Amino acid sequence: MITKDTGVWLAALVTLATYSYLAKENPLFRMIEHFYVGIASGHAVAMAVVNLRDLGTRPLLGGQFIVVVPLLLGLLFYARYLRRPALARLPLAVLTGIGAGTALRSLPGASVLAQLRATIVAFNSVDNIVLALGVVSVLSYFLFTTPQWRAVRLASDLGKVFMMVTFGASFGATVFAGHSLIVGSLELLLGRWLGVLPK
Amino acid sequence: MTMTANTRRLIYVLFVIAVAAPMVRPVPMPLMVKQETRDLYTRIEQLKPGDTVVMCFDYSPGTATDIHAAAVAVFHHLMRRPGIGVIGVAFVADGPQFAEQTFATAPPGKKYGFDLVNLGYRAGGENAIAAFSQDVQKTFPADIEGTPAGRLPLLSKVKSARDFALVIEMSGGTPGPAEWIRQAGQPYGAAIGAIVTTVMVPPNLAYLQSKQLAALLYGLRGAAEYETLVGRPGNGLAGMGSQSAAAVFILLAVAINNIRRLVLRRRALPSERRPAQ
Repeated sequence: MITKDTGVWLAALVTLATYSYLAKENPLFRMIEHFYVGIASGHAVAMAVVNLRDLGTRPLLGGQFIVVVPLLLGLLFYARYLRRPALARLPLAVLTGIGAGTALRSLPGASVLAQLRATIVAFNSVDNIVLALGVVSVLSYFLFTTPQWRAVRLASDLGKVFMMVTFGASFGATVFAGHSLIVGSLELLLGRWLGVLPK
Repeated sequence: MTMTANTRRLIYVLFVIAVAAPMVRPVPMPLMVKQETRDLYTRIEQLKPGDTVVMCFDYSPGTATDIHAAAVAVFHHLMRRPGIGVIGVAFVADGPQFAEQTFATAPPGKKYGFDLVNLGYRAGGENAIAAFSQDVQKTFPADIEGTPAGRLPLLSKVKSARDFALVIEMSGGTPGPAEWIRQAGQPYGAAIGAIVTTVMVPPNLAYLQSKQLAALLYGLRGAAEYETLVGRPGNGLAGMGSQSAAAVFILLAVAINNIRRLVLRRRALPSERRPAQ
């Protein structure tokens, strides 16, 4: 039975309009595309205002005057519209510095050392041998500054094979993610909208 | 030999029929539960009363089909365990709506503020995760409705990521498991399980292999496996037939087109070899 829920009707019609692009580029699709961009921007602005309220104005009115510093830094982003656009670089520099500092605090441990430790394995299973071969051969592919000895060339060729398998797996995963989207859309159209799916 | 617009449209229509048919007439599919899915189930089974789990809803509508079904299945498993508190949080702006949808399915008897809390969204990506891991209440002084943290008993149990029994990061991109490993796993030793989109599987398998991730569920398949483990069929199991049909359809389409091309090339060869008159 077809639903009477206005929200589901709207979602179903927008979904159909989006998929209409597969038949042909058309004004309905373009309209939905513009709506999507508009709604996404509106949502982002609303979330930014909520953030400003929760982390800026509320604490400031509550007596936490330290928040003046990030608020001022945020305002400096708009300096690019003034006569001194260079001032806009200051908050950007602070953001970049904090971002790099936060990531670097544990990046070597989490993304380098732990990964390195995980590749030091005993050669007692096919999995472990493939893992060690894969790591060494793929790394050898990126040795651009050493002479291309025969052994290095062979290893880098093997590395290429490992990388191709990885890219293939990534592509397969991307295709499957696309399937999930279609399944989601059809669940909306056939289930929540038209009500023809078994409960 | 190029594909015409009409052939392409025909393929789209056949594809939709192939995906829709198993939905209308469900076909039972054999499903093997992977070890990485079982690991999350076991980890949750081993939680003790009083433990607090953080569910991080870092996905948006575009990736929800791949993640949300698994999120609901895992949440129900958590709710079935006695005395487990669940804190919902998001570092993607669209995340809180999925936290609300998931928490709305909580079984009767579970009390907001005691058994579950939705903290909402905080901007800043990895920096916000770092701040949250360091000091929960300072990063979220109130929940999504504006209730002060001090009035939510569940929040009084957790100060930093050291107090999380488990973090379940559900991500459709960035921030994702890598950011949580860097900011909560590495510095505070928090156990991290992840539910990710199928696209994100290859890079995250490295973290699973190095045991920086305690468990990894991916895509509708992960949801279907988890629904099987907890005995609660949902959208994951419902979508498995369609996903399998889609995969078979694409394989057949690729095979048929390649055979067609080979036949057409073989037919064209004799005429190509003929000398020009």
